[in-house]
Amino acid sequence: MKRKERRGFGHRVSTTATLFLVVTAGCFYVPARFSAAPPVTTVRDDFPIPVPGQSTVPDELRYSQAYVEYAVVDAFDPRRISESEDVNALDEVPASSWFAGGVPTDSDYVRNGPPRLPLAEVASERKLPTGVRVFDDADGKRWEVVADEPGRSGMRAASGAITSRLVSLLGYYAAESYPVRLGGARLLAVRYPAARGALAGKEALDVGPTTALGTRIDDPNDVVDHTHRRSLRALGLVGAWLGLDEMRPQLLRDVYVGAPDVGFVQHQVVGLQDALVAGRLVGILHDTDADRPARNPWLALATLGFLPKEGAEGSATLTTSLGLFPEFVDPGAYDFAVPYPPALEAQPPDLYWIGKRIAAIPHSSIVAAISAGDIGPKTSAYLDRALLARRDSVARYAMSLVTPLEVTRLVAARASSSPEKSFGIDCQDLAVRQGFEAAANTTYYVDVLDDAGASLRETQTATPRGPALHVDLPAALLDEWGYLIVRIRAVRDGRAAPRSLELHVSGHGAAPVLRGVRH
Amino acid sequence: MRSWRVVGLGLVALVSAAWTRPVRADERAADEAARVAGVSRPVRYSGDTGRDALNVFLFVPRHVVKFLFWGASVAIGVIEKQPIVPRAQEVVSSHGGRFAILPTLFAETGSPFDVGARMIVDFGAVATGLRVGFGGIHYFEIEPRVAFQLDVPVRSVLAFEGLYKVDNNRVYGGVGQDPASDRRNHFQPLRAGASGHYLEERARWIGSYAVRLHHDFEVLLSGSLDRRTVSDSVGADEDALSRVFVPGSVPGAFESRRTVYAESAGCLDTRATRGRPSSGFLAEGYAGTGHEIDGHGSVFVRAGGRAAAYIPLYRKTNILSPKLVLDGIAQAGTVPISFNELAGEPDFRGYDERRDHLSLVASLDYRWLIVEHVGASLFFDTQVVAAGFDAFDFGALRWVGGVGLDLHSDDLVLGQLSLAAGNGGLRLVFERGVSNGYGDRQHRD
Repeated sequence: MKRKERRGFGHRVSTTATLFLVVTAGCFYVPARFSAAPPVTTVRDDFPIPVPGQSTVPDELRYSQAYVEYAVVDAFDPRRISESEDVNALDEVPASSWFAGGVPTDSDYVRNGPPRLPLAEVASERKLPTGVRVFDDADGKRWEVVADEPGRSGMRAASGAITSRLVSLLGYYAAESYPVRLGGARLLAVRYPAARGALAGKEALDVGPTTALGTRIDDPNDVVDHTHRRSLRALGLVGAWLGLDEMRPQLLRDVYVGAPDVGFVQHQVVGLQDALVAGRLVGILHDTDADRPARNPWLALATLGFLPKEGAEGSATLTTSLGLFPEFVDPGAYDFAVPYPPALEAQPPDLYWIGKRIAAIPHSSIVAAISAGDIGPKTSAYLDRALLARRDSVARYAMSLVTPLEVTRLVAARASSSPEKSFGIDCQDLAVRQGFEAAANTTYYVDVLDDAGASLRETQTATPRGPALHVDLPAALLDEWGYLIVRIRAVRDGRAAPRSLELHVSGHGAAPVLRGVRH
Repeated sequence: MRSWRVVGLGLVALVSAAWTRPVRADERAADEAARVAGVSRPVRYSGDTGRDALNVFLFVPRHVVKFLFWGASVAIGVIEKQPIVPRAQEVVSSHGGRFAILPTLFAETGSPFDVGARMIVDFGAVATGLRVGFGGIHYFEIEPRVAFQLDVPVRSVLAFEGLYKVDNNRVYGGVGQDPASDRRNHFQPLRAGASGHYLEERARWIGSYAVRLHHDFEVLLSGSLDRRTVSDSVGADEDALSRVFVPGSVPGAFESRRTVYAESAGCLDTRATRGRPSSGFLAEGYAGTGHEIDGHGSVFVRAGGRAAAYIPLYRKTNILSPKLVLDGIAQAGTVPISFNELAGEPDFRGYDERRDHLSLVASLDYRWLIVEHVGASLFFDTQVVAAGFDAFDFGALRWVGGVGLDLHSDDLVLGQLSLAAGNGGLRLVFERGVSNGYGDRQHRD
C-alpha cells in the first residue's frame, strides 16, 4: 500500500514536472532558422485547374465578414498573428499569381495600349456595378467602361488611369486603364478581363471578387489564407497613399487565365476609379440619406441611434476632375470605411515592405502616371505635390516601425593568418537615404547570436556613413558556428526602433552566405 | 480468414492507388507555399506554448464558428430571397440552378446546442430544401421541403413539406398562468408547481398554397397531418412528466395522437424590408380546424392573429414597434384537446412554458442600426395565458426585458445574440444561420 502511494506521488511529481517542462519549453524566444536553399523568387501557383464558378460578394456578406465574422473568429484564436506566408527568406514577396514581383517599370504596364475606336457595347455575363458597361473595341478586345459623375467629368477616369499605373509599379497585376472620350463624355476604359504580366494575350474570364477572408475553395492553387498574404495586408498603406477609401468588391478580382481546364486564377487590381478619394466624393454626392447610422458604430450603439445626424460632407475640390485628395495623410490612423481584414492583420514588416516599394517609385514615373490621367496642368501640379507628400508620409511611417536596413552585400574575410580577421555586412538605411532620418543621430546596436538565440558576444555599436552602414563581424565565430544571426537595431535620437533587423548568415568567414532576412 | 484476405487486398489496392495517383493541384500548391519562406525551423516567441495549448481547446469552436459563417454567407446568396411567396424583386435568380448546404446553430441557456444544416437546391421555379438538426442522442429533426413557384395567374407558391422530430427537452408545467394554483392541473403529491419533462416524437406533413394578391398582402391555405407521441423524458427521473402529474390527468400524454388540420391565413406587411429596420405595419390573422383521427376524436378550432406597428424615431432606421399577439384554441367536441395542442407563447422571449386555451403576448421593441447590416435592439415582453377571455389574470403577468444584436440582410435575420431577464429567469440565445422561422404560420406551433 505504501509502495502504491509512493508510486502515486512519484507519478504526480513526474506529471507535474512534464507539464512544467512542456509549458516552460516555450517560454523563451527561439529565432527562426533558414534552410540552405536559395531564396524563392517565383511561386508556382498556376497549376491547371477547372474554371471556378462565378462568385459574388453581396454587401451584407462583406459587412458580415468585416464587422462580425473576423472579430468573432479572431476571439476564438489565441495564437499570435502569423507572419505573412507569401514571403521568401529575404523578406520579399516572390512573383506569383498575386504579385508580379521584381522591379516593374512604366513599360511593363502597357500591353494593349488604349482601346481602338469605335467601341461596340456588348452584354455582360456578370452583374456590373452602377455606371460600368462592357464594350469591344475595333480590335475585338474587351473593355469595361466606367462612367463619370455628372458635373465631375474625368474625375474617375483620371483616378483609374493614374493609380492603376502606380499600383502596377508596386508590383501588383493592375488592369490597364485609359481615359477615353465617347459621345462627348470622358470615361475610363479598363482592359478587363485580360491576363496581365507575361501571359497578356491569353484568353481570360472574370470569376468574381477576391475574398477578404480564407481562400477561394474552388481554386486548388489558392492555399494561403488571404489574411496571411503580405500583398493583401499591405493594401492598407497603399490605400493611405492613393486615397482608397474602401476595398470594394470590384477592386480586387479573380481572373481565370487560359483555356478551360488548363488555365489558372490570376488576382488583379481592377476598379481603381474610386482612388484619389473619388469614391468617397461620389458617395457624398449620392448620399441623400440623412438618416444613415452614425459613422462610428460604437457611438451609434451607445446612443441608441440618436446621435445627431452628421449631415452632408463637403464636396469642394480644387477642380472637378479631382477627388477629395488632400496632401496630408496620417498613415497610422488611416482606416478603410469598411474594415478590410487582411489590412487589419498587417505587421510592421509587411508595412515596411510596401513602404519601401512606395518610396522606390521614381518621381518621373509619378509624373508619367499623372500625365496619363489627361487632366489640366493645375490639377496635375497639385496631384504631383500631393502624391509626393503622401508618399513621403507613408514611407516615413513604414520605416519608423522597423530598423529599415537593406543588405547590399556581404564582404568575405580576407585570407590571412590573423586570428582577428573579420567578414562584413554592408547595408543601406532607407530612412536615412530617403531623408527621413539623419545619419548623425543614428547609432546601430549589433548583437551576434547562435541559431538558438544565445548571444555569442557583447552588444557592439556601429555608426553609419550617410545611409551606408558597414558591420564587421569576427570570421572565427562564423567558422566555429557555421550559422549566425546578426541582430541590428537602430537607435535614433536616443529612441530605439520598435523592431530589430535579423540577418541569418551561414557558411564561413571566407565565404559568408546570406540565408535569411527578417525585419 | 478469407474476408481478411479481401480486406488486406483492398488496403493494398488503396495504398497503391494513393501511391501512384497523380499529385493534385492543391497539394502541389501547398508544397510550393511551404517552401516559400525557406524556413527549416519557425520562430518561437515566449508564451507560444501556452497559446498553442489554448488553441487546442479553441480549435473546434473556432472552426464551428467559421463553418457557420461560411454557411451563412452561402445563405445570403441563395435563400435571402425565399419568403413564402416571393415579392416581384425577391424571386431567386437561378443560372442553371443553385445548391447550398447551410450550417445552423442554435443555443440557449438550459438547453443543449442544436447544430444542424439546411440543404437547398434551387432551380428557379422549383426549390427543394432539407433541414437536419442534431442536439444529442434524443434530440434530432429532419425537415424536407419542396416548393413550386407559379407565376400565373398570380404569383403563388405550392409547397409540400415533412418533419420528423424527436425532442427530449420538452417541458409542461400545466395549464394556466399559475399552474400551481390552477385546479385543472392534477399534480402528484408535493409536486404542485413543478414542471414535467417529456419526450415528444413528431411526424408532420404540410401542404400549402400561398398566393400574393398584392405587393404587401398574401393569403395562405394549408393542411397538415400531424402525429405526436409523448412519453417521459429519458433521464428525467423525478422531473419526468409521469412523476409530476397524476397519470391520465394530462390529455394526450403517454399516447400517440394523429391530427388533421386545415388553416387559412392572411398577412399584410407594409414594411419595405423585414430584416433591416424599416417602418410599416403588420397584421396577420388565421383560423383553422383540427380533427384527431385515431380513436380519440377530439375536434378543435384554432384562431388568432398578430398586429404590430413599426414607427420610426428620429432616423428611418430607429424603429419602435409595439406588438400584440393573440393565439386561441377551442374544444369543439366532448373529447379534451391534447395538452401539446394548447396555445403557447412562441413570441415571448423568456421561456415558453405556459399553455392554455388563450395566449396573449404584448411586446415593445426598439431596434436601431449601428452599421449597415448590423442592428441592436432593446425589448420588453409580457405574457399571460388563460382559459377564456374573462379569465385573464393581468396581475400575474410574466415579463422579460432584454438586449440583442443581430446580423441581417434586407429581408432575413441571419444571426442574433440576445440576453433576456425577467421574472422567469435569465435567457441567453445565440442563433446563427437562417432561422427556422420562414414559411407558413403552422411552423410556429
